[in-house]
Amino acid sequence: MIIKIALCLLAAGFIYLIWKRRLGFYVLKRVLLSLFSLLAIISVVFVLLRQMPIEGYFDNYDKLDEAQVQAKLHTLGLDRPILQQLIPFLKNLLKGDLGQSSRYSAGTSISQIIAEKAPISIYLGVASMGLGLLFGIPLGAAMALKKGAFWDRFGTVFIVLINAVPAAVYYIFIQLYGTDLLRIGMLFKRNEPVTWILPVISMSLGSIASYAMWLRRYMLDEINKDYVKLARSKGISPYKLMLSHVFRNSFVPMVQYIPASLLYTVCGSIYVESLYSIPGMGGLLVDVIGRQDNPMVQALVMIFSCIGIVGLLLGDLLMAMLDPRISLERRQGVR
Amino acid sequence: MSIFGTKKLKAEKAVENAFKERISDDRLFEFAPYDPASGERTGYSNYSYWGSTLKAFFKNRAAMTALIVLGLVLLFTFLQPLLPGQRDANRVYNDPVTGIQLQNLSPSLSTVFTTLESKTILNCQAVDENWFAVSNLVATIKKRDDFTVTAYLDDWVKIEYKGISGYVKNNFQTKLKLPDDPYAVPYESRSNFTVQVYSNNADLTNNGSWLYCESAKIRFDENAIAYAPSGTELRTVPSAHPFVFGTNNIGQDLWSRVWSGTRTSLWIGFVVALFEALIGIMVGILWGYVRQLDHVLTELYNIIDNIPTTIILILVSYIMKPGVSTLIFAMSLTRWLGMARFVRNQIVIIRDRDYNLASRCLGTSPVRIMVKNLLPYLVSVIMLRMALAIPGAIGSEVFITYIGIGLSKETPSLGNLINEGRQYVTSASLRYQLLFPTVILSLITISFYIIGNSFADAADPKNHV
Repeated sequence: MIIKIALCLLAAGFIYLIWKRRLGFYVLKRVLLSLFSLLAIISVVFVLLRQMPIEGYFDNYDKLDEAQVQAKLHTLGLDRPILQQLIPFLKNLLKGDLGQSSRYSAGTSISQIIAEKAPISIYLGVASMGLGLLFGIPLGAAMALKKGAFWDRFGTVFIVLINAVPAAVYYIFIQLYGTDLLRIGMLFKRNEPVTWILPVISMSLGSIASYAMWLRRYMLDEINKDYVKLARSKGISPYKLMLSHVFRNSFVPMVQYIPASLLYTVCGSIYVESLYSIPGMGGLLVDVIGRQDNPMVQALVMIFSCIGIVGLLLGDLLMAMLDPRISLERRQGVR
Repeated sequence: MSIFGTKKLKAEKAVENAFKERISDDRLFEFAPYDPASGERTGYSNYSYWGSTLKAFFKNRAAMTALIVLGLVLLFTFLQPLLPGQRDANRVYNDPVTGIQLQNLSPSLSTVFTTLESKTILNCQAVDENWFAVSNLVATIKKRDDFTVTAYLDDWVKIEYKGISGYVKNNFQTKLKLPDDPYAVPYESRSNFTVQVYSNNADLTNNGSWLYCESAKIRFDENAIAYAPSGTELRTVPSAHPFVFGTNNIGQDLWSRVWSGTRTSLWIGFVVALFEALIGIMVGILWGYVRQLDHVLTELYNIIDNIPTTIILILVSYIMKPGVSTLIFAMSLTRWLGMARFVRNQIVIIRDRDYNLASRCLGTSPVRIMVKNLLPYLVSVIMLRMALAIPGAIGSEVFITYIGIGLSKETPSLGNLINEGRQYVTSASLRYQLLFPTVILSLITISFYIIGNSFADAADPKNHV
């Protein structure tokens, strides 16, 4: 309920912005252009998938004779020319029908599979992103405010370690020691809030590090600029200077990626979800590619590309909202 | 107002007087002799960009440490196969007596189990021309057999059994029944359990399995009974070279696997990063500078970027023979995109600066502008990206192995070593199998990260002019 209200408010905000800054034409143009990109992406992936080895469509290829193989390929619709496969697929897509899974969970409708899996990944992802922002932004700001002081050193070590040790390794240790510490089982249970803690913490560590790193970088760049020196010599209080000048200006380039990362939480985290056996979207794409479940791959690629395109557009709009100097029309294509 | 005025006047006068005093100093007005060399000096500064970049870089202590660490790791990685006593990374090592694989041996720096002091009588068996499998186990007595206890020691009893004299552990496991007066020896004993008779009062077996000894060090007396002169080393494996990092679950030497894997991963990292830089920079400059290409390349980027890398990797490994070069090719196919996008964004920022406009007005060819005006400006950021691209490629190899389309186990790489190690992480005694490759990978990544950042800082003229 709260999520729905928040989404409505957000949408209303964007619509107001589009109307106020007269960006309607720009948004329309970008959406139309994106449709062509989307069509191209889907077609390319569709064609690439048809080049996959035939053996991959069978569990027991060696035991089957030629007729059985042909019969299976016929039921999958793979024996027709590519164009005759592509056009019906696109027609169904226009009707909003994503089709049915062919091998992952044969016969189940894809939208049903995704509707079951996506919410868990979204909840986990949004929680970890919130945690990331909550700790990453103050850490980055503290690092930039006093270069070389304790927080700067602590943050640098943290960032370097998180980037250096493979996630696959430290996730496993968080699981091992964390479950011991909290005295809970290894696996995720939807109805037990305690089991949410470790996956969320694991997923947020990376984003804390990256938010802190980029904010520090942008703030240091900003502090060295002339207007900050002027403001300081004019005698503006350091607190106000940092908050309403330096921080606001350095947050703008970061804001661009927030809508996209928010939307990308749908994809889930492949390591975390397999470690705790969370029934989410993480690794679903890799899994269905490996099993050559073509309809699933096409549907997921389409959803993820839509997310990418919409996320980028929202990011640009958000950036324009925060920084009135940015004119999207002129900078179009520059991003 | 007037008061302030007079005060000011007073101050001015004081300054004037001081000034006059200084000026009357003749030394200030001495003529300098004519010096042609100092005339040449004007307008010349011995500033060189790379010189001062390197100077600023070498002053950074963290960067130097990282450079040394990385240098040592690289050097050792490539020297390791040339060192004496290295093992083949793919050879499975078996126990020569039992034929069982030497699975999950813990890491150790030495193969010496113990060094003998006295003339211990040994039971030995030739393994090959250089090694004997030895133990001081002389007999095994099945249960309910009578033997005579001739002496009681602290944890041992000396026994006589069918003409053999030897020592038996007197502990919880053997459960020798004690007589009422244990010191009234000799004493006939009956054991309900299997009892092992050792030639002296020490257990010279490795948890019941054989130890190994160089055959040259074993002596035989006139009855052909083998004994070891003092100073003989008994080893846990028939080799003087230890399994420094232990062995994995099928008895392969983890030490040589880790270094061989580091070589593979570094090679993948370097080559992929090289391709990434070459293709990425070229496409990026064209994309950013040539306006007609902007729309085409942006759309192309959007399309290729949205095709899952997994599909490309699987397709490439299906079409080509799986192996290191195929993996490099498949990774290079998509990784240049990020670099190109990055370079393009940087170029867009600087392409219309005044100095470039001036160059263009003077009729400089676009190629020259790209190579001479734009590229040098980007050296520092490109170096940073390059330094991060190598560990990035190594890291993505770990991910590719994780999703099951990486290199096979016959080609060790940090990726498949880490994934093998992950499977044994729940058992604390086997965690070393994950630890060693992870530590090497982290060392390499941290070094590249620090070096790249320091170099980018040093290459920024703001920081050293």
